[in-house]
Amino acid sequence: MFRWSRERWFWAGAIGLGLLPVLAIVALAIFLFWNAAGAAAQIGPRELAAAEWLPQQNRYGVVRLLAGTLAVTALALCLAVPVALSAAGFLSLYAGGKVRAAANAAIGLLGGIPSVVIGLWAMTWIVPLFGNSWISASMVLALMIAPTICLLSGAALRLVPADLLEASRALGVGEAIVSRVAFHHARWGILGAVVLGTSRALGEAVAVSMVAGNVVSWPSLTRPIATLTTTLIVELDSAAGLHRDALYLLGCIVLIAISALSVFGRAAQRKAGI
Amino acid sequence: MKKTLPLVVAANLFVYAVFFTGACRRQQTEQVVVTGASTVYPIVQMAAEELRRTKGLDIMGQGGGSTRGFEDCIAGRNSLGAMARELTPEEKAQVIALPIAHDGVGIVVHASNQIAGVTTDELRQIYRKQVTHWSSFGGQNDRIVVVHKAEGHALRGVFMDYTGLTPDEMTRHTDVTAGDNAQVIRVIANTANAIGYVSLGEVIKAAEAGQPVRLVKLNGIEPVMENVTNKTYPLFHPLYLISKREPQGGSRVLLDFLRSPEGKAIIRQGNYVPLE
Repeated sequence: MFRWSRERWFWAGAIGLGLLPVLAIVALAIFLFWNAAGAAAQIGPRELAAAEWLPQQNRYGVVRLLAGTLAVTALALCLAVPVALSAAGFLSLYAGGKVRAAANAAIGLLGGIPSVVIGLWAMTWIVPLFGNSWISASMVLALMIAPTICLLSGAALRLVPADLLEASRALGVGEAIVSRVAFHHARWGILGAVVLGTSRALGEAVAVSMVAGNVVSWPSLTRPIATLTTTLIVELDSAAGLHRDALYLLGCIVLIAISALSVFGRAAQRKAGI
Repeated sequence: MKKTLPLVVAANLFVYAVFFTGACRRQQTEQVVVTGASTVYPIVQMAAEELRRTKGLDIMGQGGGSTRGFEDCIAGRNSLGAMARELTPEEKAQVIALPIAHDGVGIVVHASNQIAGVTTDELRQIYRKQVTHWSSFGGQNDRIVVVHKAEGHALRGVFMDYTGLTPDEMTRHTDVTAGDNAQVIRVIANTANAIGYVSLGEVIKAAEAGQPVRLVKLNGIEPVMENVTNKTYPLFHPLYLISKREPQGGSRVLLDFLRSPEGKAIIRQGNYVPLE
């Protein structure tokens, strides 16, 4: 039965390599949760739910960091979604094949730019105009998530049957209504695209930390802001003891939020048949 | 295939376990590990290169901040801890602190900023936002962007002690929080109206590399190595290597080297001030 044949070596190799990412994510999750749980137990729920994040005084309230993350992400979505969806709509419904291919390649390239490069660019172009602020951080994030949203929702829009659009046109309605039909048909795919864009926004750290100012405060458009990830970036290299574990807790919150959004986003995309 | 699947999975897990423990064990080979203050890191790095060449000694430096240097030392995770600040009385009771150098703290602005210098009092006013525009110092009528180091960095504490700002004032009036020295320099190089405090050596290096940052006088004293050496420049901090017990072996070699004439020359080269 057991022949140490090529067959078995093949399976051993395939399963071994397949297990590796699973093991990696499990090890990462255990490591993060272990450190985070210790910090959470030591800090206590009441202190965690406070606004003050002052590690030097042993105060680890995450509320303002959460507010910062939500504020930056929400404004980034407000900026990115209209642009990305308009572009996706034009490219998939009206643009010719060559234009679409060229535009998609450019958009994909924009999405692939390393975040530190975008951060450096933003420091010299966006920060002088808007300061180290909520609005700067959101603009940078919008720039980074718009390509994701545009490409993924474009893919959803291209799945809309051409018959459907032709039938709408045959009814004599204008193109505004025709594209509404297309967007309605592709709504799940678009929702998935936006959700996946959101999860990317939540996890982005480097570029945001270069323009946000990273000062823990309640969100105000033109004032500096700190998010979960930017706090991690500026404090981790010097944190020790409980401070370090509290930062792992922040990482843990980000991980959970991103995982939940990814699952939801993929589910929406599957529903759309992508 | 179905029957062999659990076996193959188990075999793979076993292989990973063996690799993992093997990788952990490898760290136990003789090596001097120095962790802690990133300000001390360049000194350790330069000494490591020299000692690897001359004595074949393997020294590894790692950042992580002064407090980490102390905690690693207590937990036995390093051979020597690096600290860029005065030790607290509780810390002093637990380790041997071996001073190796001191380092000036430079007040940094963008290269285009024309101000000649600030006094301690003006610095306090800037960081309390009592003075908010460069025009108060004869500069342009632009809002001053106040840059702080993040919580946990030694220099943040050094700056706080020097200016007498309260912890609350340190957080409330900040425009930008940056992490290590390089991040502070990058922010100031890109922000024409910023002011910050950074390890003097790091600024000199950055300015030499062409970054648009410059140091300003503090209380009329030029921020040059000479003045830091004779301590007329008022803002500086000590650099320590710490150890739980009297250092032996490779750690001893490293310490002796840093206190030898060659070691001191290397420390000076990095724009730090070696021990007398």
